[in-house]
Amino acid sequence: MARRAVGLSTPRRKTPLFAPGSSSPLPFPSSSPVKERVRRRDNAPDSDLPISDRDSEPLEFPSSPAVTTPRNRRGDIHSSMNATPIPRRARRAPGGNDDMNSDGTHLTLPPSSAPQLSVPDGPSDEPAEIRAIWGTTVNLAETMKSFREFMLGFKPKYRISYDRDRGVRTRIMASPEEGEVLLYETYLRRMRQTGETNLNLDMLNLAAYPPSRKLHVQLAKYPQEVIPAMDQVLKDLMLEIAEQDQLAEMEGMTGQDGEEEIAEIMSKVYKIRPFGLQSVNMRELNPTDTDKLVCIKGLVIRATPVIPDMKVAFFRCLTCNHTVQVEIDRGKIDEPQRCPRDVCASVGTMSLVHNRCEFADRQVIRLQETPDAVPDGQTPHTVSLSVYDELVDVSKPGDRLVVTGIFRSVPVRVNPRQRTMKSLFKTFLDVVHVRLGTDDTLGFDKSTRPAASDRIPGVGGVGEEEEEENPLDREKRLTRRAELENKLRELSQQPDVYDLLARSLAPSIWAMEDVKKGILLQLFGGTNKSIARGGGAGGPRYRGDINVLLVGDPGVSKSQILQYVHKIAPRGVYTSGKGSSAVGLTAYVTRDPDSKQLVLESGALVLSDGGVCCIDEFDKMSDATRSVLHEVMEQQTVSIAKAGIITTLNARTSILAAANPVGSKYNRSETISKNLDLPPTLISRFDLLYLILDNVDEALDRKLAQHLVGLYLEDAPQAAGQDILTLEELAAYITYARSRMHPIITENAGNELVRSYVTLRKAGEDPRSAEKRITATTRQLESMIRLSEAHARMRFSPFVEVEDVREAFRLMREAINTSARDPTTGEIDMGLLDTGIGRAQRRMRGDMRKAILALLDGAPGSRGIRWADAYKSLEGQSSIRVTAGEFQEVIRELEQEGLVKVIGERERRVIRRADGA
Amino acid sequence: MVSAYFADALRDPTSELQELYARASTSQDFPSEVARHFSRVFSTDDTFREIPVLDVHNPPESYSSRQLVRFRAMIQDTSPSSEMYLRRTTGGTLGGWGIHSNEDEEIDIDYNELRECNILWAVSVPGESTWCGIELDGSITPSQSIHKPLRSHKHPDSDGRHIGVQIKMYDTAVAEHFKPTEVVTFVGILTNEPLHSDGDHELDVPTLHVFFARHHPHSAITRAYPFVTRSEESTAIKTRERLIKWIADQSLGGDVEAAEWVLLTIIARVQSRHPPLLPPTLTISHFPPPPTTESLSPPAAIPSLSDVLSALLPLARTLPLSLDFLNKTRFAPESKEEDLHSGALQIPQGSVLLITEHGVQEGKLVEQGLVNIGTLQEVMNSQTLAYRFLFSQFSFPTDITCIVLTEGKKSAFFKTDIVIPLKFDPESLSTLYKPASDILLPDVKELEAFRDLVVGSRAGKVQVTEATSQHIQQDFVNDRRQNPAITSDDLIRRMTIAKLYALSLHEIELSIDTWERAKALDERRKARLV
Repeated sequence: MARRAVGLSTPRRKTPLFAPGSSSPLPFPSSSPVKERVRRRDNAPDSDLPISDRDSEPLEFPSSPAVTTPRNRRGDIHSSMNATPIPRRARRAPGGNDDMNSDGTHLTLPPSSAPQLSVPDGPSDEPAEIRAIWGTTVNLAETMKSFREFMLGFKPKYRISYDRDRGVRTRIMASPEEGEVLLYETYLRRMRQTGETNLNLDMLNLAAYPPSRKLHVQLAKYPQEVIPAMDQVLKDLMLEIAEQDQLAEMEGMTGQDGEEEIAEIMSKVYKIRPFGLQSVNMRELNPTDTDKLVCIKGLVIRATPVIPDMKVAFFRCLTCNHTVQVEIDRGKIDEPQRCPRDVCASVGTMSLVHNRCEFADRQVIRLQETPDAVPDGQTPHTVSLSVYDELVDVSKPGDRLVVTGIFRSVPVRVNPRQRTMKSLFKTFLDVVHVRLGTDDTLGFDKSTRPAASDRIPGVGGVGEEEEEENPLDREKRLTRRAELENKLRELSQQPDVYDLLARSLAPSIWAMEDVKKGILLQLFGGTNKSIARGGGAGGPRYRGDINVLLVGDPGVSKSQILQYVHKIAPRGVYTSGKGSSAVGLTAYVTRDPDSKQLVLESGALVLSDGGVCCIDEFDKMSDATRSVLHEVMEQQTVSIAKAGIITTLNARTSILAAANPVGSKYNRSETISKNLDLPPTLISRFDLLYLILDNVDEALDRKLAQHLVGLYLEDAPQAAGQDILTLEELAAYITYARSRMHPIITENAGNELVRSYVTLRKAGEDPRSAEKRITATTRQLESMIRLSEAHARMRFSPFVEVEDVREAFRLMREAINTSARDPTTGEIDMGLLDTGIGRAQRRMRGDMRKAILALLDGAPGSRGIRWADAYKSLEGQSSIRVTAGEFQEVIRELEQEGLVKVIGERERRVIRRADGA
Repeated sequence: MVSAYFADALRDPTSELQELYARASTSQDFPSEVARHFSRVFSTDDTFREIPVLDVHNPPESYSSRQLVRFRAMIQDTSPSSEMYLRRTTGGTLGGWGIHSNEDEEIDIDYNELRECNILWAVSVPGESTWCGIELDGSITPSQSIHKPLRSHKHPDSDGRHIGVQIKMYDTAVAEHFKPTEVVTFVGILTNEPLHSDGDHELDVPTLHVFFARHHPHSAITRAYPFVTRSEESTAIKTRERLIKWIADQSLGGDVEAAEWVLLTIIARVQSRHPPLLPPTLTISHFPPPPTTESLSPPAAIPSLSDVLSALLPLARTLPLSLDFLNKTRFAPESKEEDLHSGALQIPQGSVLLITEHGVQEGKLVEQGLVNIGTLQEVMNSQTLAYRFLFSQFSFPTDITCIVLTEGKKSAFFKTDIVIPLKFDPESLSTLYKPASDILLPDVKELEAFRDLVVGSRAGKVQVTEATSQHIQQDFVNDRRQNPAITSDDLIRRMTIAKLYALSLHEIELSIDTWERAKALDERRKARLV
């Protein structure tokens, strides 16, 4: 805070508290009292001190005790940015308001700038009882009294009973004492100990405490008046607490330390930061909200650098060096026309001394509606926010905020240099409270974020810290969500919820139930696990994300499925393999146009951290791009080294990819890795691989035609099956399950997992041959665990049960059935996916190898056999077709083992048995 | 009584407004009172046509300040934040609608009298055909001066002739329903006022203070469906035939088959979004490049098809692709510095877009170009256009029918539902690119009939009887038995075509006969492909 207050720093206190005549460190003589909204504790016994030395003593300040206190001038309350002019009602009730030195604090801005320099001539200690907010019956003294009572009397139990009355679910107290804690007293004490000056005040607590119930409404309606009053109470209470602690001789509060502590508290500006109003859409802000406290949500799209905002201008007379301080009033400085000293009174000699002026930090932020708040088919709106002091630089462009602030309307000038105004107004918000992140609508997996990342740096008002742990707030949110939640829970209890959800996923796509179920489980995801007791930062982390690959003939609506998933997935990103580069997928370094600094911009994978990344045309992706995916799919990070920036970014994303077969149409007589131009290492990283083939089947065709005819030719087309969830409902269901459900594997389920895994592996055993086909690897076991967890999540079950494992096993088997079946033998072989070579192929190679060796051994002499002859004779012997490629591969292997030698080039190659072999 | 108001409103709309306020000042919702009153005054077509038109021929500067005008426009931007105005001045007279008593700033303001007004930016309708303008506005008197539009980045065709106007809607309940790319006729008082923005730059722009607005959800032009037969010669079937012949002769070198496909495509529109029943996209391949000998700059040559479409359709635009165009133009609207810049694809729903590829030469496509191609393909595939905002994107529904003309076997950039190779007489090459003046327009009555057919088809609906639907199902099963290569995509395409075929005939029901004919048409097209 740029408080370079001249004469406002805390003077050394030699005298007891509130003694008059503290010396001023002001080197310049000042004849005019600083126009100070003197504040005084309304219970101060010595408030009738005379205000001395008006113009005379140049080296001393007026000795009102408040001088030692920095004026509590808050940017958000006394906005200097053309603050809303005073409403008409201000004029009608002028009684007592000219008294600037009264203890009612600055009730509001004066209606004109005239009294800025005027010396208050009335008694300064006018009774507080007549203070009222203009045009209302709200008595400010009463307000302060009731807030004081609230601060001293509020206990969590009030809040609990209040929430219960409103039908909000409440927390069960660990002990009855927990509800009896004097919440704000502990806060105040903590503030004293930590030196924090901001207190975040949950407005619902005001409403919950019966004596302060009225305060809640008053605060929302007249923040301009009530907040300063609350600030005042807060400071008074801080001093009281300090004094109490001093009397009680608490640690660090004895003797000199205590004195210093109290002096420090005196010098500080304390601020109440209210929050907890029901947020409204920024479109709904209308003129009736002017000068009221409102709460809106949005996305920061731009923030200005910190603007030093002049609060007090410092003028010095060039003739006599007399100085005058002038406060900014509604963005204007009333420059003194002449020297106020009667002796001097020269005209036009007052000049501004910049480095003696007082400044505060201000920042203007542009807040845009978030996509979820924008009505369908509309463009987002934007509002300006003015943030001050501690709230400056708390948020950065791209952040989502919940802000509480005072809604202002300011007249628009026709011309900045003219005084005339059109009767048009612009609006903005003076922010009093900021919270980062909007409860759980953010839509990413919270478990992927460090716990403390949402905290607002530098603000950390005591109240807020508590709020993080305080379940009261979480429950408050539940009011809005309670209905939805109940509905979702009800839904989850339906026996056919699995089918219903699968049906609702991409309803325009016909059939493919298993594919839909697989993708559905991908959306729910398994739980992320990390080994807590590992070395380093928590040990390795096991991914819970499920990756799915769809391979199939063109025109089987793979892209449509992807598009659909992209729409409902949390943080879904859709990209086409054809168009995206490695850079586009990961991150790139660019120069920010505003700051000219290098910044790292995230690509699709990083953007979908905690979500689903849909990649279409996976096969068309360049190798370089694809290699990035290796890291992402197991390590779940993206490493980048560019322009001097070397970093590893998190990319904890599930991948849903779609690929076309090599020859555009799937060749059934070939294996999947032959059909797919993808490295087996990458294929094996997918938990589920679905082959979507277009088979001719009359009954199926007829059903398909029926479905399509209904869809495309009906007059008012309806989605297939009425009993489906809408996209929003489905998304809400998934988001809810992802954020709330973290199923744990039960012992039974664990046993079932083991059994299923063994079954899968056993399927590879063939009693007739010693050779083993690989049907399942540990990767498949991991996949099965993830799928079971996802299935349990889908049921809203806290435990993974046997039935979850069975379904996971079934899905795996179905997927393996279609993708890992050896086309030559019809048997399942995971080796096809893991290494690209199936067992049949391995056996054939072994046979070929024997045959080649036999051929060479049987050849006359040692001249060997010509390549072409060997191939021809081998093919003649074999019952199955031998491809030239296979033949070459086997020869190469033999050559590497040193059993044969190949001499010559191309057509004239000769294979010879190696000497000594 | 209304007619008296009518003359007053035209002569001096401001005092008419003030008088209305004097009569109805107690009204809680004065703006909707204004809308009611003035739409009653101008309720008939005749009176409505009396309101002077604001368009490129009659630009804002040709009007004196505070004149009543009507402005048929496409809403370009609804994102400016709303503005507050004083409902009544200190003197008790009306505030708003640009009526400001210039007051000293120290004056007291009664915040209870503050009201909200929505601010939009609207531009003249992109791609609107001349005949459409004449039909709605009456004859055109070309203006002497050429209007230089301010803020031309707010129009999809920033270099073209257009006007952009700041719209102030006082009836906020109505204004909230306006969405980008909607076509609306605004009636109100025209002034010149500073641009409402949160930026610091001061700029005076034409501003329309709206009395009432007429919304045109599909098209400003409407025609009957089914077709009203005027004589023996002008039945739907015969008109259709002549129309196809005319399109073929004037723009496709006599290729009737291709012309039929063009007709089927231009009458298509989005029928449903869930499930997606979108208009098919058409590529006319082997479309020759313009003869270089006649024109020095071949990329600039616009095929005659462009003019033919404009003669038939109310909204048609041509996008002459070239590397330079792709790399430098913005296709999707983008918000820069909180100002939504328009993109070439921000055009009203119901537009037909002709994309020509012959201007593309060898060269490098930069990032903007790639993004643009992706954007257009997205429009073709899903009829949505993503507007780019800082940190977020918003998808807006579009209804743009795309026809791609390419020299090659298929489009270099885009995947379309239907590809038809053009078969034309080499002799008639020059007719493919003749200037608009050389196009032989049929007589007025015939042209009217053509437009009735096309515009009517766009709004039509076709029922499918149970018998036809059974037939189609059986047909598909049989086809697949014979040829397994036929997929559900073929069925979907055929059904789309059959429906359009029926629409082009102005049939109420899709008959089996039409299904067979549509199928045959598709088969003939497929035969051409090989």
